[in-house]
Parts: sequence; structure tokens; C-alpha cells
Amino acid sequence: MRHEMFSPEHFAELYAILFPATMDTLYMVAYSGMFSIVIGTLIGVVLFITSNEVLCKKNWLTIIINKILGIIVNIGRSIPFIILIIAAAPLTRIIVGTFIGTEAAAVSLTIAAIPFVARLTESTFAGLDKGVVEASVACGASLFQTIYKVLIPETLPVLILNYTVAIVNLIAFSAMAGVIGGGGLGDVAIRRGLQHFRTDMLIGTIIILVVIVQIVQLVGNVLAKVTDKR
Amino acid sequence: MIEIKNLYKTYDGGGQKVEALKGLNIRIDSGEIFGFIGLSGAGKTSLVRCISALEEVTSGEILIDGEDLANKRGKSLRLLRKKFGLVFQHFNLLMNATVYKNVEFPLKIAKYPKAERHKRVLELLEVVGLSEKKDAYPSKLSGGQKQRVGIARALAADPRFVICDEATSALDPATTTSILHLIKDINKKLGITFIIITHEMSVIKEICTKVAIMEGGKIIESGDVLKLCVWPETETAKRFFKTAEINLSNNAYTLSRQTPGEIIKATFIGLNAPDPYICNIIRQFDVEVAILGGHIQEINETVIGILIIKINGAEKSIADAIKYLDENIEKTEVINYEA
Repeated sequence: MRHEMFSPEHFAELYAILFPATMDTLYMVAYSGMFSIVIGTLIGVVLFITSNEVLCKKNWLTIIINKILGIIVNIGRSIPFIILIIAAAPLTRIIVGTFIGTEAAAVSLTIAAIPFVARLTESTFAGLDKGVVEASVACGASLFQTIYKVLIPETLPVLILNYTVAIVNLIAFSAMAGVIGGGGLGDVAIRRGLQHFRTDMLIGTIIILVVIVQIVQLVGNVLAKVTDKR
Repeated sequence: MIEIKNLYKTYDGGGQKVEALKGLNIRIDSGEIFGFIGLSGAGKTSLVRCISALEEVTSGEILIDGEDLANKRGKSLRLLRKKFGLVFQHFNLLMNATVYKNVEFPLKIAKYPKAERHKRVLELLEVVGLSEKKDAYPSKLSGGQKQRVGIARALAADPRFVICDEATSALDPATTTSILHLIKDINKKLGITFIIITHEMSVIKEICTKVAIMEGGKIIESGDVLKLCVWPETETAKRFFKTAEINLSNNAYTLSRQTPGEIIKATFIGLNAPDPYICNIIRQFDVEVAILGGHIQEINETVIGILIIKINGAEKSIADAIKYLDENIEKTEVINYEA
């Protein structure tokens, strides 16, 4: 059923479709963002400290951990998301009990984003002047103290900007969630906008996505600026 | 007291072994300001990293008050590290933390109670003269101020030793002087032993009591700064203390050679500097004395005077005059044939 472009019925229809889709997108991005940032950062920390001689004496164990984690991260980053989202189905089933739907899509997104966040975190730490880490160690700080009192606070603004990049990426990736019935704005854009020639739907989703990305980036920039005293 | 015995450090860089320290022996007594000087590649940085346990030694011992640092790991190593404060060339401050937080950092690590931390930080900032800057971030400070924060941080957890690794090398001369005075003050007031690593002789002469000259991963000469300054033995030592020498211009040499006589370099130290030896030789030995050059400097608050004179007269009188000088002043050299 087609409505007049500016008729209230038309807006009601758009709203009825786009609002839940927006919520789905936000749900997927929020959950996957949160988990991938926490887990990815932890892996990034491990990657960094196992390659840093001042923090962690080099031995066969650290070398093996570093190499294996590095390989896993690389594998995770080289699989196209559209494949990963399907390949991750068994794992998704274990975690959320099903491999279709928004929740399942959130798990796939998390798995896809973890390696990305891990690498970003590792390179952020690597960018920190290593003298600062040495100063901390020379003060008698333990590994754990150096991580949470020096590494993270000193690189926080850069970390925040990197997390912002990761979240924006997640928003883009979430468009593919429709494959496993995840819904969301990307799904609306592809199925209704492209395949059913509903240009209005297409434009509507794009406008909403642009606004979300702008807001995420703005918040990221502001937080980075506030925390940056360097 | 720090005793280093037969210390070796070899770096294994991609199959290529680099020997940075090759059997280094030295004793650093408490309360001293001990300087290590050497050109780049002499092994100074390796030494500092070994003493502060940032690198593992390959072999040898580093005894800190009798405890060997070389075999320590984990918690006991961290405890031993707390005896040290480090001051870095590039400050290595936490850029995202205020001056106050930077100085507080080692205290937090050492688990000082909060009230005590607060008191101690304010005290330290007072010592380094940065009380008003306590809430500033390092990016707003000048190089000299940053280094003062670095020193306050190094002193915070009550170390027995403070190691300054090229601490003034990134600073301009005026700031360098003020930082060196601060170090000397702290050494006098608190009795903390300072280990100064530098490539600048001026730093050694300004504050150090003892010095070790490093070359090729070894200490080739060490001892009292004053002693090394006047009686350097090795070529490297002579080169480093060259500024203590006086260099006559070529013209002055040429001119002074046109008339007969012996050119003497006389070095006076401390109390005998003001005595009228030159006057005495003229009176006693019937010689003429011409002064070609000279200067006076202070090392460690001791005056060193160097005078280049030309003695002319009968051969016997000249020999007697030189003998007299040799017996009465610190050092007399005939430097006729020096270029």
C-alpha cells in the first residue's frame, strides 16, 4: 500500500518500521560495543605486555602466548563479516541459546570486533613513550599497577578515539545482521529499500544512521578531549 | 653502598652479540655524588639500566648494601627497586597526570597512607621549588620544571640512591646549572647518594665528588674528580679533562719560541694557590719569568689554578727554578715541545 509522500499515514508507516529497526541497531551496537571493548582491550593488554621486555621478561611462555594470540587476532580480522556471522552460529548458540535474531547478531558482531579492538589497543600502548613504562617499573610498580595506573590512564584519550572508531565500524557491520534475522536499520535498507524499491525507506535509514554515527563520533571526540591533558 | 663486581652485559640483537659491559668493577660509597662519564657507546646507559634493574645482568654482581641485585626477581626485586630513584633525560613523566599526581605515584606504589602521601608530596614540591605548580599538567611546564618534577618523584619514596641518567642533557645551560645546584643541595641536606651519568665534563666538575671514566664497556680510570683533573692517566681521561688544561694559541707558542727559555705549565691546587712561588723563583734563582697564560677554576669548591710561564736565564738557574716549583706546587710540567 502506497501513501502520499507527506501524508500522516506515510510517516506512521515509516515510523512503525524504522523505530524498531533503530532500536535493534542500537541494541546490537551497544552490546557488541561493550563486550568487544572490554574483551578486546584485555587481549590488547596481553598482546602488549607479552612483547614488552621491561614489563614482562621474555621467555618461551610469553613468546608463545604472544604468537598464538596474534595469529588468532589476525584470523579473526581476515574473515569477512558476512561469512563470520554464519560461521559463528554454533558459538552463538552456546552463548545466547539461538543463532538467529538480534541477540545472536550482537554476539557475532562482538566476535568480529574483538580482534579489531585488540589490535587498536595494542598499537595504542605501543605508541606510548616506553620511558614512562620504565619509570613506573623503576618506581617498583608491579605489572598490574603499571597497567591500570600508567598504561591505561596515559593512553585514555587515544583509546577512547579508537573505541569510537570500533563502534562506528560496528554500526556499519550491523547492516549485515539481517542475514541471520538480526533486523536493524541495515536490514531495512537492504530488504525494503533496495529489494522492494522503497527509496523513502532507504533514505530514512541512511539519515538515521548518519545521525547515530555523528553523535557517536561527537561523544567520542568530546570524551577524548576532556581526558587529554598532554 | 653500591659495589659492582665484574659486571658483564651482553645484548643479543638478532643473532649478533653486542658486549656493552665487559667486566666492570666499582664501589660507590654512601653520601657521594658519583659521576660516570664516557662517550656514547661507552656503556653508561647499560650500566644505569643494570643498576636500576631494568635489564638483567649477563654475569657479575651488583651489591646494594650487600644484597645482590642480579639474582632478584618479582617481589624482592620490586622491594630493592624502592631503594632507588631514577631521573631520566626525557623526564618520563605521566603526561595525563598533574605534577602532584606524578610525585605521588611512587608513594602510592609504596603504599604510603593517604595523609602521609599528601604531606610528603607538598614537602617534596617545596624542596624542588614547584609548590604553586602542583595542579598543573606537565605539558604546561618548561623543561627545567619538568626535570624538577622528575627529581621530586625520584626522591618521593625515600630512596637511598638517586640515579640521574643524562638528567641535564636535554636542558639549556642556565637550567642545567640550577638543576645541578638542586641535586647538590639535596645531597647535602638529605645525604642521599647520587649517581650521575653524563657525557658532559662540566656536570662532573660542577657537582661530583668521585668520577669514573668509561670506555668500551669498562671503567678505565676512577677516583677523586680533583685528582683525575690534575693527574689524568689515560688518554681518554686527558681528553675529557682537556677543558681543565689551558690551550695557548699557536701565535703565543710561536712568539714565545722566538726567545730562549723553558715553557712550564704549573698547576696549583687549593690552599697553595695564592702563595707567591713565581716571585720566589725570580728572587732566588736569578731567572726571568714571562707569563704566557693562565686561568683559575673551581672543581668541587676547590680552586685549581693553571699558569703557563716561560723561564729564562742560565741553564743551572732554570733547572733549579723548575726543581723548586716541582717541590712546592702540585704539578710542574715542561711543555716546550708540545704542539
